[in-house]
Amino acid sequence: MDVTDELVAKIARLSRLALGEEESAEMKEHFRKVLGFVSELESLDLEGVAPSLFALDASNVQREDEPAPSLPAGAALANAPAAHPPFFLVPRIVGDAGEPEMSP
Amino acid sequence: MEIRDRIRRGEMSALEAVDEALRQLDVVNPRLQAALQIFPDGARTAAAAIDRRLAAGEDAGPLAGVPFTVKDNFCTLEGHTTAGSRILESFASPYDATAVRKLKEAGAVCVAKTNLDEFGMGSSTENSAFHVTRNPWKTTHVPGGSSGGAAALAVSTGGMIHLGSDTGGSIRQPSACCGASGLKPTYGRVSRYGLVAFASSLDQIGPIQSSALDCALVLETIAGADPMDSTSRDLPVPRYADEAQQDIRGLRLGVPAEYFPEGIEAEVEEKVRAAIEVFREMGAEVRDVSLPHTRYANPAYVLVSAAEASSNLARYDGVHYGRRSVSASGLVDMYCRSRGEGFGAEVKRRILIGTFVLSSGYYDAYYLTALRVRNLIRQDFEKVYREVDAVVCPTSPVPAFPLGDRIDDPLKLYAVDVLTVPANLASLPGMSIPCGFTSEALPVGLQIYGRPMQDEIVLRLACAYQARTDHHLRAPPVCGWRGGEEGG
Repeated sequence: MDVTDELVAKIARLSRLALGEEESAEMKEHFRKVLGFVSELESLDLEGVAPSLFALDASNVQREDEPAPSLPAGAALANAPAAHPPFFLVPRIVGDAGEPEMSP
Repeated sequence: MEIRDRIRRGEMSALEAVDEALRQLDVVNPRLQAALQIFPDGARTAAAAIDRRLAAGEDAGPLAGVPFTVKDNFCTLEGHTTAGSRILESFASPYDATAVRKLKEAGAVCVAKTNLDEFGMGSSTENSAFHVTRNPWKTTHVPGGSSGGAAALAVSTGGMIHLGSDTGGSIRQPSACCGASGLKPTYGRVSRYGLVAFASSLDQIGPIQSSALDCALVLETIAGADPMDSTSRDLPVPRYADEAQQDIRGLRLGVPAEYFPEGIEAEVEEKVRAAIEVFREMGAEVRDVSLPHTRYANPAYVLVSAAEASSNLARYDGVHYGRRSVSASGLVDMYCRSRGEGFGAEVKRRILIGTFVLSSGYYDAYYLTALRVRNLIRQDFEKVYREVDAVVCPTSPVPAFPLGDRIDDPLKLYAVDVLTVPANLASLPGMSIPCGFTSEALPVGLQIYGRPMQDEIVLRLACAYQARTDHHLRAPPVCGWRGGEEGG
């Protein structure tokens, strides 16, 4: 497939990654290489082969729904870059300060 | 584990054991840069507490006073948990990973955290955001990765436990490069709670030691079900150290032709084939087997691991913990810049590839295809395990390579994982042990694959081999444990 600047920019946007110009060019080259590397898989006949996520046959595991202590709010906030206890602080998202959300 | 026995017999205090570990780290770390953080004060305080309990006649645990290190992608109450990344440079975990907690409950003492490729993404430890680690056999060479710090310390120091993690070979390949014994247990054998997630269906925690028997002792301590990790299996934990010392006569070993691929270094093949003969001499039955889809494992791994990484690493948003960009305007810009500034190049590559293969229009062609191939890899092993009890092969097609040799070409670096990724894709136990040295005095790793949840068979084969050979006992030129002298 054709790896374009637009594709890399779109994927970077979806990944929430700010890339510099040089970085974007490097990533485009990397996409080409990786897609070349994995193209070998196209030669396989996968008709009737089910996808396998885990190779062990573990089914869903649930634990009892019992209250238990969790991380205290103070400890959870201790690593926050910005906080106003008991809240995390983020840049303003209403009004015109944020850009609109994108759909994939 | 000699250090454990000496403390038990009262020949050495926990504090003396920790001081000795710290002394050795002082000797080797300036040359290897294997540890990212060392905790002299905390470790000495913890050791003194163990000594007080021992003096009072209390049971201080099966590993009382034994010093340990963990790779810096394990959450610890000590120091920071960086995962080798700038984005977590100042992150202080509010809890211990389950494996860390279990070691501490057994009486072991955390002395240091070891270097790694950022988030475990790499095979040389050159992708650490902080510094490279050097190979104790040849300091111009890489220690392998991503658990390069742990593997370098496992052979250059003595009397410590080291934990690493393995997503595509990150315990086994550095063990091969450094001449250490490293076990990636079966997926689900050890809880992953508190391990910084890279690819959740592939990640597994395991020990890297100088001997397979020590790996068995460590596994015995850290294995088991954990309510905090629903993929940890609720199956009995065998006494691995006892199991590991059982006879191997009659065990059937498969040698897959596909694991001696084109491009494998002649000396690697020669040493591994010689090791297989040792198993035959000891009474194992050796036969040729075929794992026909092996060549497709690495491309499938690249896609699956990247997909899971892109999802797992979405949590680094500059909001809850980790780095936040100061130059952002607005929320989305803050996400993008924080991540753009905080992640290294290889991590960004994998996030982008992973986002791509999961994105609308490409999901079926790439991600789903890779998962189907994953099933073929698994089926290959299921077939072979009807005839044999374990598979033996090289860990890596090449020994340790010079620093800088592969880092500029990611695909060249991915290529060294070709023989280790199948264990992760098929959720199998796999182990690397040293089986000789090249003419350049670099270690060669022998890999042993077992059936799911038969880690004890893998350990048994490794222990039997080490009872017959002495490759694992050799001291590298950079060494802190032989009377504290460097030079070898």
